[in-house]
Amino acid sequence: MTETSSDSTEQLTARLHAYRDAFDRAFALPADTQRDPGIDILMIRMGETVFALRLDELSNVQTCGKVVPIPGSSTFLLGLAGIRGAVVPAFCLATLLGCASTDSKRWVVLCNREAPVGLVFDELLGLRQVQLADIYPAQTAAGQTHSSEVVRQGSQVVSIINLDSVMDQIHRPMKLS
Amino acid sequence: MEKQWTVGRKIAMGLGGLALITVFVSAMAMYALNSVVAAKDRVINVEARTLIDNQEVGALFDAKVADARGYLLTLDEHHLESMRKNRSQFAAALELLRNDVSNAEDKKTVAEIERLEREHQAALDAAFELRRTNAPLQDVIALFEKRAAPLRIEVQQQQDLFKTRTEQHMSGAKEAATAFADRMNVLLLIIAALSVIVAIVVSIILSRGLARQIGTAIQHVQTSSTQLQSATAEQVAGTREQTSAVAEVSATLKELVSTARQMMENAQRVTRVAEEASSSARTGGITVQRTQNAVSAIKKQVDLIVGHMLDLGKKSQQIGAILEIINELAEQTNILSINATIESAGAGENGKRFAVVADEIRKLADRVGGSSKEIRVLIDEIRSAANTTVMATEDGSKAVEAGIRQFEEVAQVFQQIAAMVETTTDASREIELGTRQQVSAVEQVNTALSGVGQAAKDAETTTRQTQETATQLAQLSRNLSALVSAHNTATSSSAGA
Repeated sequence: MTETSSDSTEQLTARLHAYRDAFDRAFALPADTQRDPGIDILMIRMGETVFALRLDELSNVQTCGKVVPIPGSSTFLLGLAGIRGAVVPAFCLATLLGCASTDSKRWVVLCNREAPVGLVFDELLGLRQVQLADIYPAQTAAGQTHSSEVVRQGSQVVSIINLDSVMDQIHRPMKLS
Repeated sequence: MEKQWTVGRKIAMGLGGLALITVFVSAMAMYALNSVVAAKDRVINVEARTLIDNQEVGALFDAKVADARGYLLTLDEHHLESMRKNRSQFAAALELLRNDVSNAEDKKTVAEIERLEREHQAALDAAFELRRTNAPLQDVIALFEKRAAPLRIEVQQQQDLFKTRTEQHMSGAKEAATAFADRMNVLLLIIAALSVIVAIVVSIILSRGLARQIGTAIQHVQTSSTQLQSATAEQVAGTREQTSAVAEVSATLKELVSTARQMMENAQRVTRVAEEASSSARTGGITVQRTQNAVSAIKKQVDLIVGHMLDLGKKSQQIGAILEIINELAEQTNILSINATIESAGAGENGKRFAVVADEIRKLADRVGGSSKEIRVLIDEIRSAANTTVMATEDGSKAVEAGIRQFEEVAQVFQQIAAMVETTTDASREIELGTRQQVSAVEQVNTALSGVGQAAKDAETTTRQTQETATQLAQLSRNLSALVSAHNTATSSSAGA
């Protein structure tokens, strides 16, 4: 066994111990002190661009199943999808935002509205807790629609999608293509 | 007709004529000689014998008379017996004498002598009788003298007469024989002269004819000798060229023999080298076979390694599949935790503790996801390394298989080389044997060529001798031509005279 592999093994063993300690510590701390104050955002990707969604604006996140297209629908309406026993319209978030998209595995989030609306995107990157101080208004974000805020993730700046704006666009009168 | 006759026939005819003449002369001479000899023999055998027989008769008669006297004197029977014996011999001699004579007169004389002898004997018998009666000797003598003596005298006279006549006959015979011999001599002389004349005529005729023919033949001989000289000269030149060519060929053959010997030695060296190469090829083939076996063993080990690596790859694929399951579970857990967080946020204060649990679950899911990613990376590295190893092993296996095939090819090539070397060895042995036979044959050819060269030299010598003989023949023909020309000139001159 080389030195590199032996170091990796020790590091992995140390990480294992760290995970165990952190897990055990989580049960030792009071419940209300365990969560950092901040907001939860959902990091998603469409094409090459990373966006963020406020978790409190969503009601569900899951993989996108079969979407039945509707003839004569708009370009951003993909069709109807069955989610949690309900028939939900599925819209292409990349088309609504005007950015490129891929045909990879699609995720769908249900927006927290009166009528459930599904927004389909390419990839779910994960849930993040960010501090309020890391959120900035998106005044300098050129070419970005439906985005009024940005959040800083390390060296990366991610646009937070304004779902109200997206809903407004969806509910705007549709033009026949 | 004369032109159709050959020289031989003419000579034969001439010689035959001369022979006939010689035979005739010889026959005549023999006849004459025989006649003379017969005459002389007659003189010698008959007349002389007659004389001798006559003398013997006289001697026997005298002996008888002497014996009679002796008996008369002594009455000795010995004398009487002797007398009888003498008388018997006298009778035989007288018979011989009678047979010797041929004429009647002589026969008459012989008969008379016989009669007288009988009477004489009768007289002697009377005297003997008287003497046996012991008569006086004087009476006996008187009787003897009266009767026997006259008869004795008559007998002697008759003998003398016969002798005289016989001598006359002998003399006459001598003279006749001598005359006959003289006549024969003359006859022989005449015949000899005629023979000489005939021989001269025949010789003249023959010489002229032969001279013409010989002259013609001499011309032919001269022409032929000239042609023979030129031909022999050409032959001498050709023989000289042949001798020189034979010498050149012999020298070339010697070089060929030397070259063939070198080739034979080279073939022997090649044979030895080929045998060594064959041995080395066999050794190399054995080494290749061992190496092939070792490479096959390596291939088996490599195949085992490939098999194990393939199993490792399969196991890593299984690990990857399990990792996919883990990732899926982690993802699903993450989704559930997100949804749980969303539900907890909607639950307000009551959902905070649930949110904590959801956070922990999400962290756990994130850790699982991160670890699964690391595992994925390691699996990928393992699979990559395994693939690389498998590829390298497969490359090595292919290289080993290629090496085995090459070794097999090398082994086949070695076998082919060994076979070719064996063939080369056999061929070099055959070349060596053939070269040795070639050397022997060339040496035999050289020996034969030496014989040919010697024969050529001998032929050259013989041709020179022939040339000299042709030259001499030409000279002889010229001399003969000169002689014939001189003879013709002399003959013409004598004929003209």
